Amino acid sequence: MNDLNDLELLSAYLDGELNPEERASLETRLADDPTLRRELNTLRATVELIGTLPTLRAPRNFTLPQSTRRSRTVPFPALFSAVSAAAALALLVAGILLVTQTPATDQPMAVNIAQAPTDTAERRLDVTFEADAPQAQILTTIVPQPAPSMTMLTPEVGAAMMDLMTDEDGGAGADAELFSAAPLEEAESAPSDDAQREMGEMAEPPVAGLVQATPSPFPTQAPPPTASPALTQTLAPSATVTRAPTMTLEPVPVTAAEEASEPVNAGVILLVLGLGFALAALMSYLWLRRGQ
Amino acid sequence: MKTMSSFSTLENDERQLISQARRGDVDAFNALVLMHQDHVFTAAYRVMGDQASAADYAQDAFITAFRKLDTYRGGSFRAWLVRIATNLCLDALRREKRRPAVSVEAITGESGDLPIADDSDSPEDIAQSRELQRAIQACIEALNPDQRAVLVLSDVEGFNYQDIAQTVNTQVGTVKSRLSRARAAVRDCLQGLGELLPPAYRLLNDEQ
Repeated sequence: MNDLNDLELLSAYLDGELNPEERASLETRLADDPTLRRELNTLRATVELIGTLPTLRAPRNFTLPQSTRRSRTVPFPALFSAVSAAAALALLVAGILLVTQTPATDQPMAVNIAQAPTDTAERRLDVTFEADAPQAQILTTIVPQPAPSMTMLTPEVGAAMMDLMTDEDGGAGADAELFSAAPLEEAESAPSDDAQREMGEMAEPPVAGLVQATPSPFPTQAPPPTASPALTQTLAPSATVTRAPTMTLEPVPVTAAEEASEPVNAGVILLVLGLGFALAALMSYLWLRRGQ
Repeated sequence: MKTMSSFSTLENDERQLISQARRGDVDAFNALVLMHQDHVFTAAYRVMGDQASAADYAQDAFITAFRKLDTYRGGSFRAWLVRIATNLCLDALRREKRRPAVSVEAITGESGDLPIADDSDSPEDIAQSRELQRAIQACIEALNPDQRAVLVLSDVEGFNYQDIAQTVNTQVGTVKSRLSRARAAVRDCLQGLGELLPPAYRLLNDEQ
């Protein structure tokens, strides 16, 4: 027991890792104890022997191929910034649409949605995996807002974000980068980091798709998800905050009409949320830039 | 970007290359690879004990380093690389749970694939030290993985206790005790060699 402790003391003594009291005490003992001295010397010789081991020559070059990407995982702030920007854009667009285009007939929102052909909704569902429709790409990034993580994104969006990270400017214009992955020329020509401005430019083309598929994040949503299994699987991990992300993907049952009876209010809520996400996107983007 | 005249040209070059590599410049990173690959391979070889897997983990270490370049926070870049390589090796050893028993054949065997040393000495020096090198290496390999990593980081790489503790994710006190036991075990192992040790090192056999 004591031997083990002495061994530690001697070993640390060789490395100069004893505090002054320990060292003084050990040196006093070493002066009187030849066995301890021999122990120290054999340890010192061992350390010296190990130190004579030469540096070896690498058997080959370990250089990396030119195609190697810098980063496989997107740093959290960049991901957060991109997701927030996408969420802000979609929410603002949806909110403005609800506020400005409420039908004079006071027709509930759910009915509007229900008018969309079912096969379109289902096609969009597939798109979650095939991702050939730009709107779907954007929307899939919106869904995981509460806890963005690569695993929840489609490969295409993941790739887009990776590009975003490997970009020279370290994600300059997170918004524009994200959308450049989707073939939306409007977005590409808008390298502004102000989500609102982009929203204005993008408002027209993707309207139908966005309104249809945007998850309405206000918590009053009625029936629990009744979506098809495939979609539920995709969205499941994100269901913590966005309570009813699947509500709009199937013709909505009549019960939903009650909650949607005041689309203007809903639109205002969407706008506020959208502005919140825009702010989050801007803050995280600025934070990112500062870190560069 | 700090510019201090006291930095040597080499260190300045290295800094330059690191910041270029951070921006995704593979050529710049490869220049760093060439600067440090012998050292990183050596560390991996000392821990793993065989050339093929040491080369594999050295390669992995450089790939990991390139990807995680953002986590490099100054200090010795070489030490940072060695830390990555050592950790990869340690993980592999723990996975394999392999602990080769040291045998006299392993220590004295002529057939060992000892990699070529970087510095060239006179033929007699090489012959003598090769036998010794093989013996020391075999005694290191007889240690368990945790002791091996600590011993290599300390006595081959010259890390202090604090850096070792950080590298292998443990307490300084644990490093201290692991290292002392590893050294004692290597000493006992080498003492068992007796006459095989060159005369200069016979003092290990504790007469007087």
